[in-house]
Order: sequence, then C-alpha cells, then structure tokens
Amino acid sequence: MRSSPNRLVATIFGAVYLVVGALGFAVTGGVGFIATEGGLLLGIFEVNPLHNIAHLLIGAALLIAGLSSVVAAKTVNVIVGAVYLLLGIVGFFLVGTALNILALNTFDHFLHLASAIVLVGVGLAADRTAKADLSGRTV
Amino acid sequence: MASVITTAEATADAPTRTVSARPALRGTAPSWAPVAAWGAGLVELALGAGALTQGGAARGAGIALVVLGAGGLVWGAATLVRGRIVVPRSGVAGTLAGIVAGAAVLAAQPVRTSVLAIAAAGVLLLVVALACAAELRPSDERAMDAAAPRLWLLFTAAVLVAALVTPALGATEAGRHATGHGTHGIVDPGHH
Repeated sequence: MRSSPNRLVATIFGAVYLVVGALGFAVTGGVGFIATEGGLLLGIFEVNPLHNIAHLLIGAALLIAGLSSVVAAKTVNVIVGAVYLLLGIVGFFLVGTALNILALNTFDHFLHLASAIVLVGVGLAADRTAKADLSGRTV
Repeated sequence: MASVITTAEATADAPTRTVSARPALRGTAPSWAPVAAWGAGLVELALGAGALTQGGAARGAGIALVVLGAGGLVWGAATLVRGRIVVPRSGVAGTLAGIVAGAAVLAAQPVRTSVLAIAAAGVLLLVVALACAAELRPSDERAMDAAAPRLWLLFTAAVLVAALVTPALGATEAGRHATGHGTHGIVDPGHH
C-alpha cells in the first residue's frame, strides 16, 4: 500500500472521514436530520445527522477501496473527489437557503474543496500504470 | 523483473507502458499548476455567473469568464492526467484572457464585483501563466519536471488554493446572494 499514492490517500482520508462522521453525532444530539442549522464539530465545521451519515459512507468507501486495490482506490478517489468538487461549487450557493440540507458552512466548503483537489489530483495523476499492471502483470 | 528507463527515454516515448523504479509517483510533478488552474476556474465561474445577470459589457465578460473557467478546470485535469503542462501556448492565452475578462467585469460593475475575488483569480491565473511560459521556454532540463512528484506538494497546493478560493467564492456576487438569503426579514425602521 505504501507504494501507491492512491491507496495511501484513500486509506488515510477514509479513516479520517469515518472518525469525523462518528464524532459528528456527539454534537448533533438535538439537531434535526436535515436541519439547515447544525451543531459545530471541532468548534468550526457545521454538521447535521445527514452530513454525519454522508461522512461515514464516504469514509467507508474510501477506506475499503484503499485497503482493496490500486484500481479501486484510484476510481473511488476520483469519484468522491468529483462529488466534493461539485459540492464545493453548488453547496456554496445553498448556504442560507432551505436546500442546505447538509448544514454546510464556510469551513465545510474549505474542507470539501481541499479534499476534492487532493482526491481528484491523486486519482488523475498517480498510479497511471495501474490498469496495465493489472492486465499485463508487469509488476 | 521491472525494467528501468531513463528520464529522456520516458519523455521521448511516453505512450509505451514502461515501468520505472517509481511508477506510482511518476507524472504528478506539475501538481501546483493544475491545482491553481482549478482554483482560478472556480472563481472565474462564480464571477462569470454573477456578471451574467448584468447587462452590456459585464454580460459579455461574464460569458467569457464562464467559458474560461470551465476551460481551466478541463486544462487542470488534462495536465494531471498527462503528467505535463498541456497546450502551454493556449494556457498563456487563456490566463491572460481571464485576467482581462476579470478586469472588464470589475470596470463595468465596480460596486457589484468583488476585488478580493478578482485578485484571487488573478494570482492563481498568474501562477498558471508562469508555469505555461516556463514550459514554452526551450530548455534541456524540462524533462526534470516529470521526475519530482511529491504527495505533500499536492496537499500543500490544495490547502493553499482552498484557503484562497473559499473566501473569494464567498465574496462574489453569487456567493453574497447565497449567504444573504437568511437575512430577508430586516426592515429599516427609519422609513415610513
């Protein structure tokens, strides 16, 4: 796993998002499932129960892919990164509206944008020989 | 056993499925330029979206910004996939056009356009332009670019660009409209 940036990033990000998802429930006790005003995780990141579940699912997908194979990690990194990039753009224009069902705030956008850049960047740039390695067994 | 190729051979024969000593990391070197292009593209899209609602010159510049922003996102992805700066000449032209379009929007709508967003986009576009210009400069050492990829560089670039882009997006016309939705009930008591 150490030789693959995609597996490394997927595993680390997956573990972090799983922890963040679990910790999120500690601050969303009285918060509605899709409330637009959520609790503050670590004092800055606004979350609601749906946001926590999304973190858990994304964390699980990344961790499983990271522990599985290079191709799986690369694929999940690009997909999750693209979703985060989309959320970083669209989510920005949902703040303050009833459509903000993930209770997103500015710090969430920062984290999502940074995560998106790293995940898509690693997914597109690293391990480009993964498919050839898989089919041709060159390594 | 994996064969080891030299850097010169790797750049001369990129499409072949050769395996270097560090195949997994090869090609992630120019990570800061595409990341900057993504950041600039996002801000250009937000600025363009805000300018599209206006009329006259601002609308025209807004359309240009949307197109250039989308182009920046695609260029960043293509550069990461190829592991080198792609179409550098068009890259320089696109970044300069982005700066001009941003300045045009600011000149046409100085009150509605965020100087912070224009400045952030300008800085990021300048980074991309410098990377493209360096690629255009004839040099035997260019092949070195493909051999120094580091994950920490991508992390650093991502954090820096996100830190710059997030407040810039919030300062755009579209971002201000979004965050203002929660304050509609404010009434000025001084008027009858």
